[in-house]
Amino acid sequence: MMEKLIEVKNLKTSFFSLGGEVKAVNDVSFHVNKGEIVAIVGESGCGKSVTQMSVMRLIQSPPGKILSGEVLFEGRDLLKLSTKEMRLFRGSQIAMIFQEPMTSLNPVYTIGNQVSEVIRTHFKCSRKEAWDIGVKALRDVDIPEPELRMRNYPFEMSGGMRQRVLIAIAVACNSKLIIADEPTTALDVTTQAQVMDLLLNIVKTKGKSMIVVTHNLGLVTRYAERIYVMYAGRIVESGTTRDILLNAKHPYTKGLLKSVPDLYEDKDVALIPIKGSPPSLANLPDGCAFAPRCDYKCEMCLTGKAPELVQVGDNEHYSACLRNGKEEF
Amino acid sequence: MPEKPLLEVVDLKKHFPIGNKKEGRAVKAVDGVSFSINEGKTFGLVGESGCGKTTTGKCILRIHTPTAGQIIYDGADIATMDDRELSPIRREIQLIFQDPYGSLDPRQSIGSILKEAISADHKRHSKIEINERIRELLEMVELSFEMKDRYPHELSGGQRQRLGIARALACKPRLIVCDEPVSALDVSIQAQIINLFRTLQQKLGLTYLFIAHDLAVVKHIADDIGVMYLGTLVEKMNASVFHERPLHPYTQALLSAVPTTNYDVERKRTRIVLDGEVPSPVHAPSGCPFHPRCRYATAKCREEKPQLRRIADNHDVACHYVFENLNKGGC
Repeated sequence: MMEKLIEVKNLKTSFFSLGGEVKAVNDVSFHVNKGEIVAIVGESGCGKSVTQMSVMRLIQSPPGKILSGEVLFEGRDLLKLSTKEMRLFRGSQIAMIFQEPMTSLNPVYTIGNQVSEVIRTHFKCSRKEAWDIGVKALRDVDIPEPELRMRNYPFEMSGGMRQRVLIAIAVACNSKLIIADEPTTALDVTTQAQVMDLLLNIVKTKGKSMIVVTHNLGLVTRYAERIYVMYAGRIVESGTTRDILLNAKHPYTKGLLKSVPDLYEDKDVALIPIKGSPPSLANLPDGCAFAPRCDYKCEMCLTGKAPELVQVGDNEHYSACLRNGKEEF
Repeated sequence: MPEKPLLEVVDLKKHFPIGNKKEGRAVKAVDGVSFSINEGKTFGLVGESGCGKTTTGKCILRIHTPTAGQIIYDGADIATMDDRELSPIRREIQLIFQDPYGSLDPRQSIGSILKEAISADHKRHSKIEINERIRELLEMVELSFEMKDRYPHELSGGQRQRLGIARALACKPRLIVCDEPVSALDVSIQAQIINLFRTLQQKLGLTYLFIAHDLAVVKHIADDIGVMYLGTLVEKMNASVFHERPLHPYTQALLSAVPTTNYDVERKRTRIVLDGEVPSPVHAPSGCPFHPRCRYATAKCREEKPQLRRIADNHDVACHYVFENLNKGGC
């Protein structure tokens, strides 16, 4: 039995706006084992980022509120920590890497300034020591000439370099879990490969765990051990990468896989898009949120509560669909 | 007998001068690109950001005036034409942008946006004619006619891109330059728009220049693909052999870096991860632009810039050592 590093149970986060309650995260449960890379996949607005922000307790309140649930990190419930305790927790135990490396770095401070600030928040050390740890952290993420780069400002670096700086900040404090929110979306393909390989390398050699949040199923094929697929604030399918890609059960996952053009497929195979567009989280339909776009819906799908996750295979393969296993799609 | 190309680009160059005039320095955004597109076909231009693919598109649209080279559209060179000669051709070559929201006026209703494009031919149209044409255009892109009174902010990303396509179609173009038309969209919507592009091409006989960085998307839609690196075309080939026989070391690396959802392929294939980053075009390397990052680079690559050479049917590569790499079995 693998040891769980973080376990999220029945997390619910909503935003209260003039238009009513927006249920961004709706009863989400997932876990990450020690040393594991887990991917959370979904389209924009499905709640995948809000889930991670809730774990870090970075939801702005108001309008947002974590309504219920538990976030157990090595057995401790993060949602019960005081603001001060949580502040120490962030960065030292869990680090986060954001999508836009330009906006998450401060443009008026040097890289060195920002890297050593994080180090000095978490370790008792002098400025000089923090600087040296920072140089080492930049070297760890393969930034050439780290001593010179420490004196650069963010605008003097390329997108790939900035993303490396964020990774350096994340690993400098020896956090056990890295949450990477769309870490490579803003980057070019070849840089994307470099950054993902770097992250994989850090996780594997330093015994860390990682959650990769992305909309790109292809990106995680190579790296993730398990995948959670999110749709309209819920996890609709979860399982090992192999099960999700080769043996998907939920109609949404199946649709997603068929709608992505693949390099290794015959080009005459027409793409089968998913009809319509995702529902608004402020105004979710009754029953299964995917039902209005689903080719296999029946009357039961359109009423009552959203379907629960049901085990559909070995290796923790779960899917939230009423017709799971009852009838082949 | 090969068909006559609708568009032929010959040794296109676009240099942007920088610094003071005496120095004569320039960013060579596009530096000698040649390709041709037959009527009703799609040419896909791929490359990473800053490789000059958008500048190439803008030169063809004559948003930029090329520094050198020829752009032969339907038998006439449009690279050197003045505005008056260009004006009828401008309607025939249309553009679809990446960001559908940024390219629509937020204060104009959808009907009004389309009306403006329809009236661009300076002919008299009655109200009924225009309404009919709007209905026809919206139907073509699978939007309902009732949409015409709405505003861009009321539309979803996919709907906005459909509107962008409808606007481009309003002038009855023959060639459409699509600049990253699906990269801002969600995956499930992307497929809808890609399919729409293909249906429209079959129905209207359109010719596309499809510029994108997503190789899988380009491979899916294009007949021929050109791979750009630092302002030059390094490889040009038929889309169907794209993933099987990449011969330029850059294409090989690019392809191996593209993520795939094909589980079995992903576990088997080997990856070439390039060192470093694309150099700035201000300080473009001598010789072959790719040599500082190339695994096979030699002294010759540093000095002499390789030209595109035909090495197989419909397959051109700009590499001195393409035959040696061929023998190695490529990637």
